[in-house]
Amino acid sequence: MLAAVCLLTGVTLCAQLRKRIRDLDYFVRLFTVMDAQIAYALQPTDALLQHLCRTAEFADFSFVVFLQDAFAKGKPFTTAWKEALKKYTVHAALKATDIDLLCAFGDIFGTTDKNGQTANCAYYISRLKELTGELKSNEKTATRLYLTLGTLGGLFLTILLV
Amino acid sequence: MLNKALCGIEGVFSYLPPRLQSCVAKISTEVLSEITELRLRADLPLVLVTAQEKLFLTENGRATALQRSGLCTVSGAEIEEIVAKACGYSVHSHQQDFANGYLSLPGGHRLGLCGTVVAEQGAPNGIRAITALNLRIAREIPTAADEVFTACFQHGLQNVLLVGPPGCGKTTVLRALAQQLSNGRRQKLYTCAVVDERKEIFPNRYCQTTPCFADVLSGYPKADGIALAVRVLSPEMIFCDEIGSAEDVSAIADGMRCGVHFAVTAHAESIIQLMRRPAVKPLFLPGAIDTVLLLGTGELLGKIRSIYKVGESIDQNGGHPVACGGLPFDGGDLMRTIA
Repeated sequence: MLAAVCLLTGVTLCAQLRKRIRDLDYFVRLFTVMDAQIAYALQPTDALLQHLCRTAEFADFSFVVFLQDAFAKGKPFTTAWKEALKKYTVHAALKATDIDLLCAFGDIFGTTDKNGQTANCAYYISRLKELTGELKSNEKTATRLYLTLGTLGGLFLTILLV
Repeated sequence: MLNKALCGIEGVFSYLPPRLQSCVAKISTEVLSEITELRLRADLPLVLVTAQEKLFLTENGRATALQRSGLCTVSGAEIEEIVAKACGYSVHSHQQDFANGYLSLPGGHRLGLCGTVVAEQGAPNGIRAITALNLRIAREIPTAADEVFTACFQHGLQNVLLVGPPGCGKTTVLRALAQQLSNGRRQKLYTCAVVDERKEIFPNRYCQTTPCFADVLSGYPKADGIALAVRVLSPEMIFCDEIGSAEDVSAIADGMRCGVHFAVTAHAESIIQLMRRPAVKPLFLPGAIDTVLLLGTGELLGKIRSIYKVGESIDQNGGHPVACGGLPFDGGDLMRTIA
């Protein structure tokens, strides 16, 4: 039983890692679409959020819906962004450092001209890509490690207690 | 879809921070119906502007001409908050508006910005350190153009120039005129185009209570918009607001040569002042503007003060005809007051 629990912990950690990568990838994609919409059409924030909500690739990304809902209620963008992030991260696998990084994006969005916004998007895309790149390259090792530790930990505890 | 509530005066107030909203919510209905502008200056009391006077607003919503304690003061942070909200938290979408120094709001209202210019190669490119705002309240008055219509359009289209100082109702009259001529309520349906550079004439169709069938070119520089309208929209009449540059006038003259009629507005306190604007002068050459309407202020807000026919020239002092259309324009004496 103990061995199974430890193994399950290892599996959960692996799943969380994969989920974290997937969540960060969603944000990379989100910033890429935002960047394109601003560069091409200078989309105002409300129209941009509506566009994001209609975009099929974000159908499973509840963050955009949370953001749109909060913004439509008349909340300033920064507040809406933080609220949506808070709501989203309840079930997400993002770490505190990821959340801080994403929060900072909301503080700057919509406050500068087109060049400023595209540069801002590009900066966050590169930071997130860097982060996901590292995570992806370590994914296999980490997965093996979590599973091995889970299994060994379980066996060790079983032997110790038995 | 735009929220219709944002178009009325209550909509204008929704751009204010909660504290200021609670102050203006207490203003009496009589004063509220008179307000034409809200002047907001950092660390100074809020000022209400009506056609007759300028008043301070107290914390409990009373309008007073006296500067005393308990006035509703605006903070710098609140100014920033209003600007951010007015541009929909999208500075990137309003770059040109910031460079021009104003933001157009739903319902035709306008937020004038006062601060330090951000210039690029000598030309204004934006604004920073915004310290004062002028929130101009627009009101849709479908009957505002009745007088103009009776004076100029009973027997068909003609080229009309509406003249008046800022805040005399030129845009309101122009909007109503575009509605009347385009919706067929005046016996004939005309194909009209509106070149709305500042997005003030028809800021959003959902705000109009009277249907308008005019084609609206929103945000286009006037000269480009006029050229585009003539080229692709086949208008019988084009409307545009606040002409002033040689490019605008040249585009209008080109349009007129293509057989399109124009109703345009220009800033000037009097005809003599208008004549002193070199860029506008070509409009008074034969074949251009037919009628100039001088709009009143104060009691005569939005009403015609005088009507001038171009081409039936008179002596400025005696009112006798001295020359006829066809001569080059040389001053303020080429017109005759007929009302």
